[in-house]
Amino acid sequence: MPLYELRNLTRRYGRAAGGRVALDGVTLTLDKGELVAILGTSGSGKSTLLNVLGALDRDYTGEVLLDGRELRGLTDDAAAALRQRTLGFVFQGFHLVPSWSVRQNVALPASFAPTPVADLAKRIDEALERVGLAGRGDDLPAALSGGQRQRVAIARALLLKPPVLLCDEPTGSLDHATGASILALFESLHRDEGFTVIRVTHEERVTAIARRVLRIEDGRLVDDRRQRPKESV
Amino acid sequence: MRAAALVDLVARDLKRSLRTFSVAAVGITVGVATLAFFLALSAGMREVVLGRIFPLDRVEVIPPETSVGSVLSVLGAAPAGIEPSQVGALRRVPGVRAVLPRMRFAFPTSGRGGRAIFGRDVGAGEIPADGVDPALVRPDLLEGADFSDPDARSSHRACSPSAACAEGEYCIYPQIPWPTTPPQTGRCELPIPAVVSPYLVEVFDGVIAPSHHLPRLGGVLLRQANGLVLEWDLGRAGLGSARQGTPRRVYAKLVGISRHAMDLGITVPLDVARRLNREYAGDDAAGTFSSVVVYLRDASELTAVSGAVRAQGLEVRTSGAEQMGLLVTAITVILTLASVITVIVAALNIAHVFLSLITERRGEIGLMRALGATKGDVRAIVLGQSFALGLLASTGGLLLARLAAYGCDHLARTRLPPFPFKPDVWFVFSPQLVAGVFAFGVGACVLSALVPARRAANVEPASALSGGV
Repeated sequence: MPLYELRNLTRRYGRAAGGRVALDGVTLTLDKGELVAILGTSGSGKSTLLNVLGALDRDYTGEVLLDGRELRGLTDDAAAALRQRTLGFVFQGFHLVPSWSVRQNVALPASFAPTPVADLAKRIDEALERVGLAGRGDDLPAALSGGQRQRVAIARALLLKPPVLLCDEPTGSLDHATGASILALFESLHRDEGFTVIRVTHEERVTAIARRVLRIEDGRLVDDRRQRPKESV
Repeated sequence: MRAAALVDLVARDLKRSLRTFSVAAVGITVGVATLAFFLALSAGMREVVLGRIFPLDRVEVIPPETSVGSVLSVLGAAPAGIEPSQVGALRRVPGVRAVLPRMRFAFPTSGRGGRAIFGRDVGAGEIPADGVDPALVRPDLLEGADFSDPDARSSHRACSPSAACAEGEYCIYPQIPWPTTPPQTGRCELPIPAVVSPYLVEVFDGVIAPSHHLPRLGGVLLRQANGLVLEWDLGRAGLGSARQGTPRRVYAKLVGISRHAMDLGITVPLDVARRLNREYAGDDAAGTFSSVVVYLRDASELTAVSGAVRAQGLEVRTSGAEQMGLLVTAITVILTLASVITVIVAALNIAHVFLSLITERRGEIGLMRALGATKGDVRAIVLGQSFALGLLASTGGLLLARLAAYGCDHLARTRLPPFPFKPDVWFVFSPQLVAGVFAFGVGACVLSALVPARRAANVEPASALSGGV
């Protein structure tokens, strides 16, 4: 069974007939363990697609199935539980709480778990070590560079070990070298630990490490190609 | 979301926005403080005014006062009284807990005493007195005191200035011994037990003692009352003598201070009043009661019982209790309203603060939703913050009120001159008051956050995370 199945997905903003169409009849499937880049210019609908995949936006027409479950029919609580169990999010803006330590920021998803997360401290340490921030747990975000902050955000996404990482322009706020190291981290997570990584970007060059590239233009899927990833961008 | 996680997040958020929340909480603290302060003051006033000066749990029933009766009284006829059958009827009125008749002395008396306390005798040219059922004052008596007619217990042994009575008895001569009168033979009798009201003590301490440079009586009398014996001249006073009987001097021994004693005068056992009225005012005066104190099951039954009393042709003596009760209530309501308005304004301010914070932290709320928080979780976080804020602000407000009350009590004790019924403590912080004000402060905070909490819960995560509105 594919991880995602999208059939004729359409997302329209505004109810009037002239409402803007952000996604227009997108049909595709995504398999578990893929490393996918969704490429598109600003306003092309790529972030909208990511929001739909993340069950953050369920006001669409067509069908979107995650592990066979239609997302639109989920209640709010069920969608929240699904996100916590299955999906990890990384955003362009890191969304760290500035007055909390790195550890506290990483631990945030555990706050919403219905039962206490076993070995939470150990999990935090492992997540920080995985992103190369071992020993920085007590620092405040202000003490970190942009790339390190994004690593904290990735560690936060990894804490509960969701099988899917959804990343919205994760290198958009970073310089070239730092962005490259973050992309390498995603590639490593995909290769070594089997994460499904779905990454949205507007930069052609950062699709280089992806194994599959989807191109979105004006809300339509115009290209879907598989490629051999380069080792660096 | 687990409670422990909620508490942790709320605590961290409060710490993070400590300054903002502190400023917002000041209003609630002040409002709760003023509310608690005024309510405690009102409770204190109510206790003094309605508990000690104008008790609301009883009414005094008196015979009807008619113009014909007044004229007859002037002409020498005995004033109308309440018949024993009417007392029985009053006992059957719904809402009545107890009915205790009083018999006022229908003849003049005067007296003096207090040398042991004041260093000299203090006299009164007219001493009103009455008699009550001993059961009425029994709880207020000094330990071991016997509040009954001492006539049957006295030895009545012959005595004279040269032959004194046994300890505890006094020689009572058949008439008051003027200096020119040759010594007479008397009979040994025990002193008549008597009680006075705290009202009399307050008036003495607040008005009489300061003007005559006498020590205040309250505490002293409570300790020494058992030994205080007054000379009491029956049938003779400054304004005249009794119409019948021979004036003589007896002794009255104070055995307690009771709210049930007459306000300005002394109260003795009912049998004593009956016996002496018969002797000095005739059988009619000894057969009827001057008034009846009707005790209510509940102060709220006052109106109904008053109506039943009037239906029996009797009257209720207005003590001012109802008016004072209304006055205290009105003042309480006004002050409480002012405090409540303060709290409401503060709550609106808190709502505004929360709304601002939620606007400021839309991205963070969106992130929480993306990380698995439900709408309920987000709502709980905001309400949890407001609850914690309410707890802290209300605790602070109550402490502030308590401190202010201590300060006022101290000032009143040290700076205000003594006056009748001056309380030692002006504020009553009952557990119910503290709990009620606390709950009000917390409740106002939580209510103020309801709309912000709903708005936070409804933040669209996709929109918030993309920086949209």
